[in-house]
This record gives sequence, C-alpha cells and structure tokens, in this order.
Amino acid sequence: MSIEVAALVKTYGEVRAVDNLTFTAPSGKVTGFLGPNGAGKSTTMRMIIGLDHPTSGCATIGGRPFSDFTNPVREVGVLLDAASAPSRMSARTHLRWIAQAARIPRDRADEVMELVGLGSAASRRIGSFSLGMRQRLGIAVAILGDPGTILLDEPVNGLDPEGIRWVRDLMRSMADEGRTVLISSHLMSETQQVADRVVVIARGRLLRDMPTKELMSNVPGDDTRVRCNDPGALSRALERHGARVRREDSAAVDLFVRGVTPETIGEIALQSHVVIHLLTPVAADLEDVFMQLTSAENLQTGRTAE
Amino acid sequence: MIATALNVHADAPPRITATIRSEWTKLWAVPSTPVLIVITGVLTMGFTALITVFGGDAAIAAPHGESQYQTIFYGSALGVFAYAFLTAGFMGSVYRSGMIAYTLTATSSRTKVLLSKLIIVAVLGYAAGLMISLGNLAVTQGGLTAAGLPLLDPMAPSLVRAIVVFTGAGMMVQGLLACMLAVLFRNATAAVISLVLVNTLPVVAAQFLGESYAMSIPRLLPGSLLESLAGLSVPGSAGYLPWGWAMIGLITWLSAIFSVSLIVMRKRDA
Ligand SMILES: Nc1ncnc2c1ncn2[C@@H]1O[C@H](COP(=O)(O)OP(=O)(O)OP(=O)(O)O)[C@@H](O)[C@H]1O
Ligand SMILES: [Mg+2]
Repeated sequence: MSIEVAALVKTYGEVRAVDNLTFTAPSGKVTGFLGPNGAGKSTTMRMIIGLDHPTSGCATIGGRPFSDFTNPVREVGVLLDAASAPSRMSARTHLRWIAQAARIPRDRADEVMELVGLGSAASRRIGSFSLGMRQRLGIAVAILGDPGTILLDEPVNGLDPEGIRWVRDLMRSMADEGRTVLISSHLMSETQQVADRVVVIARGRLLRDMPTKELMSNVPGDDTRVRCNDPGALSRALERHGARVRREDSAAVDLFVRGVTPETIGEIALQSHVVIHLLTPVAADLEDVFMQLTSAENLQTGRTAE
Repeated sequence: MIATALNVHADAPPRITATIRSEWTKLWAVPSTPVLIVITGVLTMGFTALITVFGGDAAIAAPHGESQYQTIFYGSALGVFAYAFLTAGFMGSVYRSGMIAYTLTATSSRTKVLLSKLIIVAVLGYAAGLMISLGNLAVTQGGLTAAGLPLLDPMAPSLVRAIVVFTGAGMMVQGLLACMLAVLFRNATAAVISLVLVNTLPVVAAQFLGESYAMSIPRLLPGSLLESLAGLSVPGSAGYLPWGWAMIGLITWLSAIFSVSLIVMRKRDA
C-alpha cells in the first residue's frame, strides 16, 4: 500500500507548516522524507495517520484515509515521538496494551522486544530508558503488528552506530518484502544510504521528489583542492581548458577545481609553469547540497513574499 | 536477521471490547490508579466514621428535616470527587503525556476510544461506589454499636435504595462528567475544578438570586439529581425531583456533555 499525499496544507495561524505538498511513497521502497528543522515533516506524518486534520488536501494509505483502518496496528506501523512513551509504564505493559487494542497475542510484545534488543529491559519502567532505548521501543511499537506500511519520524535519533545500522537493515528488509517505508530525517547523509527515493521539503514545500540516485547525480561532481605558487595564472589556464574554478573568497589561496581530473590539472600546471604544493580530491558534501536546495527555497519564498 | 512475521489466527477486526481491554490495562499500569481508589475509600469511610463517632446519635438523627440517611452519605462527596479526579486523569493524562498519538494509532476511531474509557469509568465507578456504600454502612453500624445506640435497619427499603444508588451512581455520573470535561480541557485539574463549580456555584448563587431561582435551578444540578434519584431528598424541598425526572435530568447532562466532548475529540488535532 503506497502512501499518498495530495495538495496537503496545514496552517497554524500565520504559519504554513505544510504548504501544498504532494508526493507518493510507493510500496517496496524506502522513501526518505527530508527537510531541515521545522520543515513540516512531523506535521505531514501526523496528518497521514489522522492525528491532525489537514487545512486542505488529503493524505491516504493504499487509497484510504487512516480513519478507515479498523485495525491500524496490523496495517500501518508508526513511530512519531519516542520521547513521549508513558514513563511510568513498563515497556512490556506499553506494548501489551497496544497489542490488546489490535487483538495481537500478548507473546508478540516479548517477541518484538527481543527483536529490537530490549529483551532484558522489558519489565523496566520506560522512564528509566535512555533516548536510544526509547527509540528502540518506539520501533518495537511500529513493527508490533507486522504492518505492510511503516512511518518512522527520525528513527535513528539517539541511536548508536550499531543501532543506526540495525534500523537501516530493518528498513531495507521490510521494503524488500514489498512493504512501504517512509522515514524522515534532517540529515541527507543518514538517509541516502537506505532510501530508494527521497522527498525533500523546506518550509512545508516540496523541493525534490526523485530516486536517490538521480538526486545524487544532480549533485555537482567532486572538487579538487589545489594549492600553488600562482593561483591567478593557474585558474586562468584551467578555465581555458573548460574547468570551473572557485575560491572560497578572493583572498583564499586554495582553488576548488571541477570538471577536470587531477592528472589534467597537473599537466596544465606544468604547461603554465606553476608549482603545485597540494592536490587533493574533495568529496561532495551531501549536506552542502541539501543546504543549497533548501536555501534556494528560502530565496524563492523571499521573492514571492514581496 | 530480522524476522518480523506475525502469526495470528483468522483476522477478525478488533471490536470495542479490544479497546476496552486495552484501556483497562492502561488504567492499571500507572501506580496512581490503585492509590486513588484507596484514597477514595478511605476518605468516604473515614469521614463517615468521624461523623458517627463524634456526631453520634445527633448526627444520625437527620438534622434540618433532611432524609434520615443523608448524614451517613456525607462522606460520599469527598469520595466522589476523588474518583472524579482519577477519571479526569485517565483522560487528561493521555493528552499531557503524548499518549494520544499511541492511542489513536492503535485504535483509529476516536469514538471507540472515548466510549471505551467511559464504559470503564462508569462500571468501575458504580462498583467502587457500591463497595464504599456498604463499607460506610458497616462503619456506621459499628459506630452505633460502640455508642450503644440502636442500629439502622439494613433491610429498610429507603436505606437499601440509598445504598444501592447514591454513592455508586454518584461516582459513575460525576466520574463520567469529569472524564468528558477532561477532553475539553485536556487537563485533569481544570476538569475537576469545573465539575466542582458546576455542582456548587448555582447552589451558592441561590442565596442571592431569589426564591424562584432557588426553587428551580439547583435541583437540576447533577449532585441534586443524584440525591433525588437515591431518595435522599425530602419531597417538597428545594433539591427534590421525582426519581423519573431525576433520571431524565442525569441522562440529559450526560448526553449533552458527551456530545460536546465527542465532537471536540473528533474535530480537534490530537
Ligand atoms: N501544534 C502546532 N501549533 C503551532 N505550530 C506548529 C504546531 N505543530 C507544528 N507547528 C509548526 O509547524 C512547522 C513545522 O513543524 P514540524 O514539527 O512539522 O517540523 P519538522 O520538519 O518535523 O521539524 P524537526 O526536524 O525539527 O522535527 C514549524 O514551524 C512548527 O513551529
Ligand atoms: Mg519533526
């Protein structure tokens, strides 16, 4: 069952938290839902699962609004805000009352606790859990009913590296089983490794909705950092050969060169009688790309507001 | 290896009984529930014991022409409001702690969630109220015996009616009202305070608003209706209504507040 969001709008007074958002999270895929803090990710997810009512537009799962699901736990797994789990309850009791509401056998609670690595903490009060443990418990709740669709809001928040790997593997295997997986994050690097598709939003608006590969190929290629005795001469020579050259500012010594290989740069330097002091490839920083995307949006909204 | 497969027998959708069971688990999963129930019992019975021991014969002998048994239920008011606090918390805590998100993703129908909670509040309230009534009776009889006074006749129809109805129905009705008000306020304390105000303000106001007001409005309040229903109001007094009308009055209160709370619960963002 795919998740469909159509022309979704949510306003809080003056704030347009979600602004005419349309996208689809298809089944069998992990869809990354990306945006900076306050972009509207959580608000969108809350509307998908019927907690908040859209100002206009709609969100459906497999073509049905969430309120139509008679046994949602069995069909849609949700992790919203792990910190809000009831602190005075034991983890096991928390899972059990949810299991009871969905007519899931009570043993399943212990089974998922084992699965998320909380087996030994099952009877402890949730209040005594660390952030990472709460996050694992939240994931346990989400997979309790073995749902075909799963929405996780910032699932790796607070997890250790092993935990992050584990969540990725879990998401991957769930999608490979044909399930729909939607995970939000404000870090591109975190999402890019597991998401097949990414939906990028900022200020409630859609910026990109495409396969992760495609977004990555839109990412400007890698730079080469060059330090030399005559940056002016070298950059003119490089530009004649079709390379793009950038300096962090006009006073900076280092050049960032794109569009030619380090070998070519060396040869051009030799021809121009420039002495190279440093020549290093610099990997494109995905966070930079994301910042570019989202700040472009800032400019745009600035313009339309006038 | 991530095995998530779940084997469940033929998949009948959960009915409201599943939601009730789940809400019941939730209610007792927090330590404050048994504590509040015990407080409710201790308050009412303790108060009754005090009246019996210190008021003795005079207290039992129905002051100001009130019903003969009214005094033995004086303690009930305290218990009823302690229980109202519990039921308001049962609903209010859901909003405070963010549990509402878990609740509504486990049961998507808000109507089902509200009804389940109310059914529990009603049944538990009546059961606890009945036990407390019986406890009160025992305390009173004990006090009377100790003081060498004649015992109440436990088989007297009016006493049976008061015991079966008053505290049980009181805890049920006021508990339901508090629980539903907590949907509106999303806060247990505000719900209980408003419930107390609804029950007392119009009575206080009666001192200032003249005879015709005093003889009409206060008897329509939930507390007065409960006294009429239990046969504790003296016919002709300012609080009295025949039990049939009292019943209709209570149902009207409950349905009115229920409708408002249901609409609010369905329309407002969780
Ligand atoms: N209940 C509310 N009342 C008023 N404004 C709200 C409410 N909920 C969210 N907002 C506003 O809506 C916008 C989007 O918030 P949202 O929580 O959806 O962002 P997010 O993308 O999840 O951010 P983060 O990465 O920080 O979790 C923010 O400007 C926020 O202040
Ligand atoms: Mg968020």
